[in-house]
Amino acid sequence: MHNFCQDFETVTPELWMANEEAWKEKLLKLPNWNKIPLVNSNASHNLSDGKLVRFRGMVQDMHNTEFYFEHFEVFNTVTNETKIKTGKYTDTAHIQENERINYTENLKSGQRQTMVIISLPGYNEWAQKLEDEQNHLKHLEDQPNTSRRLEPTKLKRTYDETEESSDVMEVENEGSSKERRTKEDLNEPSNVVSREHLLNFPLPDVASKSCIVKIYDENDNLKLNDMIEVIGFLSVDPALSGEFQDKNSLEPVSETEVEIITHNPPPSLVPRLHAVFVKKLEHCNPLVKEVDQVKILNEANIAREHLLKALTELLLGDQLAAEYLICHLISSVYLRQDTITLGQFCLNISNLPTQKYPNYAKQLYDIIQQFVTKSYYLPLTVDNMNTMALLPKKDYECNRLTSGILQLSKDTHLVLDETQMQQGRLDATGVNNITALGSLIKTQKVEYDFKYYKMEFDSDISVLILSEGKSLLPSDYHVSLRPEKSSLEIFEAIIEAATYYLKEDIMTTIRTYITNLKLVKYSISEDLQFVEDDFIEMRNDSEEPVTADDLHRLLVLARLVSLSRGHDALTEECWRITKDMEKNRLSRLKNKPPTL
Amino acid sequence: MEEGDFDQRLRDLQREYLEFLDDEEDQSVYTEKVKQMVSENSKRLVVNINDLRRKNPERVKSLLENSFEELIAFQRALKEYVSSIDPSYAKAQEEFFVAFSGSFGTKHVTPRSLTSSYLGNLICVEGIVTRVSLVRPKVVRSVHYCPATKKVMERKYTDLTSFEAFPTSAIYPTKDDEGNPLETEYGLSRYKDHQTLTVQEMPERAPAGQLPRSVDVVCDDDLVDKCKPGDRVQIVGNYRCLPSKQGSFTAGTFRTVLIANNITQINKDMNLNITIEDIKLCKRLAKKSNTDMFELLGKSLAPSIHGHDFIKKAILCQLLGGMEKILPNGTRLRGDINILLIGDPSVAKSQLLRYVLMTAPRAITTTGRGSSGVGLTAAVTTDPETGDRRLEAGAMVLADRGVVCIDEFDKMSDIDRTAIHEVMEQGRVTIAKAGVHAALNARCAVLAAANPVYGRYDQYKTPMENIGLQDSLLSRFDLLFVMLDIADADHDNMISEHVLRMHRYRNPKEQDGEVLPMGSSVEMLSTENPDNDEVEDTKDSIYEKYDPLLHGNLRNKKDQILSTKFMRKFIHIAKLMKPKLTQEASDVIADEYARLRNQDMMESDVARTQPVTARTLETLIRLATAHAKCRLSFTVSEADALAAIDLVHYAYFKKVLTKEKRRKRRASSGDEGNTSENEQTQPRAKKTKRTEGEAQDPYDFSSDEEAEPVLRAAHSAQPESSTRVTRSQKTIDNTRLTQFKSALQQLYREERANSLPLARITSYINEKYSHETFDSGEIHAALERMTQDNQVMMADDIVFLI
Repeated sequence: MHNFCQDFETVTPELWMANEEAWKEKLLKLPNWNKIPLVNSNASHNLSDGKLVRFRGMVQDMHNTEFYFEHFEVFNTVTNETKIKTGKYTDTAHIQENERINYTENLKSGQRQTMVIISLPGYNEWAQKLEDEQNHLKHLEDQPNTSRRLEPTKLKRTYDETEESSDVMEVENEGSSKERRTKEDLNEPSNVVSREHLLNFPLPDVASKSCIVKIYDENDNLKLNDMIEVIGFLSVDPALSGEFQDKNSLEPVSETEVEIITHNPPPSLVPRLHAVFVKKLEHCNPLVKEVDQVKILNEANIAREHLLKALTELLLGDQLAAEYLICHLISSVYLRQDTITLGQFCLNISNLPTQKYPNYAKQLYDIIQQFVTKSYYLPLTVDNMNTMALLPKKDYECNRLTSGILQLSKDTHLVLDETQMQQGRLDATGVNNITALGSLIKTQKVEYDFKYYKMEFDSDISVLILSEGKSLLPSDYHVSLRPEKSSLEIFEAIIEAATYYLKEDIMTTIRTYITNLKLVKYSISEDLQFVEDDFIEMRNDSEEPVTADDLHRLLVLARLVSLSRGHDALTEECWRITKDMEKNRLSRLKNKPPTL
Repeated sequence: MEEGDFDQRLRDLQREYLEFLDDEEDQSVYTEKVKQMVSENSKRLVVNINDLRRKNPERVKSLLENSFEELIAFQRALKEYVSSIDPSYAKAQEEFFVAFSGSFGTKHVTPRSLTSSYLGNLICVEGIVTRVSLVRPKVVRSVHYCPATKKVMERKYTDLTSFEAFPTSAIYPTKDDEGNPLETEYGLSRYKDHQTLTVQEMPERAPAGQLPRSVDVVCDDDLVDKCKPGDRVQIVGNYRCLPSKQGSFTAGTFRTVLIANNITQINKDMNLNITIEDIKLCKRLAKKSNTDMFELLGKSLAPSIHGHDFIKKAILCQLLGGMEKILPNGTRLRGDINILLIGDPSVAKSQLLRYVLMTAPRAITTTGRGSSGVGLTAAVTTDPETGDRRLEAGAMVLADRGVVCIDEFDKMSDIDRTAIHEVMEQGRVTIAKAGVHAALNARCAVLAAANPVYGRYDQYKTPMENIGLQDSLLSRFDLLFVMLDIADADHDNMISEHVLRMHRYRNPKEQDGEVLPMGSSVEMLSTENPDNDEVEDTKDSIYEKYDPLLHGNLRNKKDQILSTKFMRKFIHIAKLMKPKLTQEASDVIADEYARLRNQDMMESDVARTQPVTARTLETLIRLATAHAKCRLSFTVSEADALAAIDLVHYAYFKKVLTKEKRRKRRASSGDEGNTSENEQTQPRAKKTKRTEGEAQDPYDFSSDEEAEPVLRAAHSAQPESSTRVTRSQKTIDNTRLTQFKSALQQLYREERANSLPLARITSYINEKYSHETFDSGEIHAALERMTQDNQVMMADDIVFLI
C-alpha cells in the first residue's frame, strides 16, 4: 500500500507513458487519493514541476484544442545522434541547445483539449476547511526537494509585480473590477493585466485558484460548469508565462497581445496540469463518501428534526417557513423535458422583520452557509444590479469566456437579499441583470452572451429570495413569514443559542443529510388515484384557476416532503402533508398579517 | 538532387492542371471562366472540384490530401493558361489564385471536428466570424537602390503562409554586401493585403453544454474584407501548422492556421438537408390513404401540450403558409398566415409559441414590450460616439420570410401597434425619421399571444369586448383563437395523468453523462448544401420513439407521431409546393364567404371573435392552400377548402356564454347547423363536414375550448352590425315611402314581372314624381324598409317582389 503512494509521488511523465495502462489501473485501485497532493489545499510553491497532483474545480472555459508533438525526432548536432522524444504530458519540448527537431520525418502530432478549471465558486469555508484537513500534506513543506523546484523568491517577485501594478490600475477605474485592464501606453514593454482578470473567477471578493488543464482523452465529454477532479502532472515552468513571449517572430499574428497574456498567465498564479485522469463529481461535500440509499433514508428523520428545530428558531418560530426552507435546501433539478424543467424550487420568504433587525437576511444566510457546501449571498441593491456582471460573456479580444456571477456549478445556493434594495433607477445593465435572474428562476437556464448570438446553458442553482414584501422576481413558492412575538424580541439570543446548539456532530449530520438527499433515487408509483382525484376536486372547488403548473408544483413539493422524511416514494400521508402545507401557505398570502 | 525531383514533379502536375483548364474542345467551361476572370480584372478562379474529379480523380485525391504542392502547380498552370489567353494581363499580375468549391466529403468540417489529421489538407470549414483583424500590408518584394554603386537590387519575402518552402527574414536590407547604404524604392516595392480572422463554430452545431471552438484563418490579397464579424461563412483553405517558439525554448506544441482560398457567406436558411430519399419518404407518407397528413402533422406538433387540436392545426397552416402573389402592378397579396391566441393565463400559450420557435426554420421571439427602443419594426438611432445615424432592424424585420412570435401582444406600445398594421398586411416597414427614409421587407407570419382585457376571459361578455383590440388590427389576423381554462373531470384527469407521468419519468440519459453525438464530419458533403442532419433512411425514424413511461398508454400503436426532425423536413418540402386553386374549391370558398358575411345578421346565439371583411376571403384561400401543401398536392381541392372553412368556423365564432350546464361542442355545432338552415345558399358541406370531423378526430371534444359552454345571444354583435349598415344611408320619411310603394306596385303591375332591375325602377319612379325626384339614397332606404317588412328582396341590383 505504502508502496503505491510512493510510486505516485515519484512517477514522472516518462515513466507513466512507458506503461500507461498499468498506472491507470493502479490509480483506480487506490482506496483514496488523499496522498496525491491536492492543489486546492496545498500552496503551489510547495509542489514541484512534473509531479502528479490533483485539482478539484469547475470547468469555467474551454479553449481551442492544442496540437502538440506526440513523438518527434531530435538530432544532436554535437554527438550526431538522433533520439525520439515526446511532448505528451509536458509543456516544453526539453530540447537542448545543440539539438534540432526534425520537422519532416518521424513526427507524430496529437491534440489535447485545454480547459480552464477554477476552484468551485461559492465553496463554503467549513467544507474548504474539512477538505484542507483531509488533504493537506505536511511533508511537502519541509521536504527538501532537489528536483527543479521553483524558487519561491523569484516567483514571488513576478507575482508581486503583477499585483502591484494591478492595484494601481484598480484605483484608476474601480468598479469594473474584472474588465481587462491594459496600459494605455503600448510602448511599455509588458502589457499588464490584473490578477482578477487572469483568474477569471465568477464571484467577486472571493479567494480562488485556477488551473489550466490539458486533457488528452477526448471521450471525457466534459461540459461547461461540470464539477471535476483531475489528476495530472503539474507544469509550472515560469517561461510559460505570456509576458516572456518573443514578439518579433515572422509568423502571422492573429492573437492580440492581451490574448497571449490571458491564455498564458504566469504559472505561479495559474499552474498547468496535464491530466491523466478526470473524474466527474456528483457532489463536493467532503463528509459524504458513498451513497447508501437505505442508510440515508433511515437516518433522514433524525437529521430533519435537528434541522427543523434550528431553522424554526431562526425563522422566529415559524415552522411552516422552516419546512419550506428544508425542502428548498434539498431540492435539485431532476428532469428536463422539452420546455419543462422539473425539480426547481425557488423559495421567496417575505415579510422579514427588517424594521427591527436590518441585517436579518444576512444573519440568516450566515447560518444557511454553514449547512450547504456551496452558496453565494447577493444583496440586490440597485447599485449592484447596475454594475455587476451576472451573465458570462465571451470576450473575443482575449478569446475567452469572461465569467459572470451566474456561472455556477450545480447545487449552488444563491441567496438574493431583496431587503437591501432601495428605490432607484435601474439602467440597461440593471434591467438585463434582473431579467437574467428571472429567467434563471423560471427555467433554470442562463443565457451566455456571445456578442453575435446568445447561447443558453442549463443550470441547477437553487435560488432563495429574502424580501420584505412579495419579491419583484418570480418564485415557485412564496412564503410569508409569521414571526412569533416572543421570538421577535430575543432574536439576538436565538442566534447565540443556535450557534451553541449546532455543535460539530449535529452540523455533520445536517450537512451530510442535505447532500445525500440530492443523490437519493425517488419514484412515483403507478397507482396514484388520490392525486388525480384531488386534482379534479381542486379544479372544481377553487375560485382561483388551478392549472397543470400547480399540479407540477405540488408534486415537486411532495417529492421533497417525502424525501426529507426518508421515503423514497410518494405515499398518501406525505401527499396529505404536502397539501396542508400548500393550503396554509396560500391562506397566509391571502390574509395579510399586519406589517411588523 | 532532391530539388530537381521536386521541380520535375511540379512540372508534371502543372501540365495535368493545364489540361484541365484548357477545355476548349470539351465544353469550354473553364476557358470561359478564365476569360471572364480576365475581363473582370480579377485574380482568382473558382474551380468546382466536382468538375476536376470528373476529369482527373487522381489529382483531386492528392489535392485534398497534399494540397500544398498541388496548389503551387495549379496556380502556375493557371498563370500559364492566362498568359496564353491574354499575355499582357498575365504580366501585369504577379500571381493568380485558385479557389475551390464543391463537395469536400470528409474534408467538410466544423472548427470542432478539425483535428490534427487534417493538417496539410484542403478543407472546407463553416462557422461564424468572431474577430477580424485590420487589413495590413505585407511586403512581397522590395526594391533597393544603392547610390554608391548605382545598382538596383530586388528582394522577395515569404513567410510561413506562402507556398515557398523557406521563410525569409523580414528585415529590410539597409546595406549591401560591401556595406554601402541602400535606399528603398517604395514606389517599386510590392505589398499585398493581409488579414486574419477567427471563425467560431456555429452555436447550433456545438454539442449541448460545450463551448464553441474556433479556428484562425489567414486571408491575403483579394480575400480581405470579404466578411465582417458576425457573418456566417464557409471557408475553403489549406490547413497548416506553424511551429511555435516561445521565447528561448521550443514548446512541444504548434499553432495551426487555415490559409483561405475561398470565402463564401452562407445563408441561415440553407441549413436543412433534404435528400431524395426524404422527398420520396414524404411523398409516400402523403399518399398513404389511411393517414390524413394534416391530422398527423397537427398531432405531432407540440405533442407534450395536451389538446388544442384546432390551434395546432392552425399553427401548422401558419408554418406551411399560403401563396404569396405579386400582381403585375406591384400589389402584393400576402401568403403569411397570422394567428392570435388569446386566453386565460397559463393555458400553454407561451409554450405553443416556443414550439413554433423550435420547428420553424426561421423564427424570432419577442414580447410586446420589446426591451430595446427598436421595438418590433425598425428604428433610426444615433450612434452616441460618431453621431452617425443608423437603421436598426426590429424583430419583424429580422424575421423576414419567417415567423415572428409575439408574446404579451396586448401590452405592446402604441407606436408599435400602429407600425404593425403596415407590416402585417404589406410585409414592409417604411420609416421616415431623422432624415432617413427607408422601406424594409418584413414578410413574416405573426403568431401572437395575448391576455384578455380583464385579465381573465369573461364569458358573459362578447369576444370582441374581451379582446379589446381595434377591428383594424384584428382583421389582419387570419385566425383568432380563444383559449379557456375550463374545469372538467375527464379533462382534468388527463392533465393530472400527464403531469404525473412526467414526474415518474426518468430520462435514462440524464443519469450518467451520456455521450452526445459530435464530430459530425461525415454528415456534410458539399459546400453547395451544407447541413448536418443525419440521413434518415429507415422508415422508423420518422416517428417519435414510443416511450410508455413518457407518453402513457393513451396512445396506441396507430397514434404514432412524427419526430421533430422529420417534421421540419416535411414542412420544408411542403412549403415549396405551389398548389393551384381549382374551380370547385373557389366555389366552395366563395359560397362560404357570402355566408359568413350574412351571418352577421343571421346568427343570434354566437358572437364573432373578429370582423368578417374581404380579408376573410383571402384567409380562406390561404388556409386551403396550406392544407393542400400539407398533402403535397398540386391543386387546392374542395376538401382543402372545407378544411379551411372548418378552421375559420372554429376560430371566428365563440359562443358567448351560459350559466347553465355546459353543452358540448356537438350540441353547439348542431345549433349552428340549425340556424344556418334557413339560408338557401348553405353548402351541402356543412353537415357532412361535421360528421367527418367527429369520426376522424376523437380529440375534438377533449380540448377545453370545445367543451365550452354555449350561451346568450350575441345581441351586442347584431346591433353593431345593423347600425353599421344604416349609418351609411339616408333615411326616408313615411309619406315619401308610401309614395314610393304605390309607384312601385304600379310598375310591377304594368310590367307583369316579379323582378325588375333597380335602374328601371329608379327611372320609372322619377318619371312619375318628376317634381320631387327620389335620389338613390332614398330609394335604397325605402327598399331596405320594404325588405325588412318582407315585401321585396333585393340582390345584385335586381328587386324581387315577394
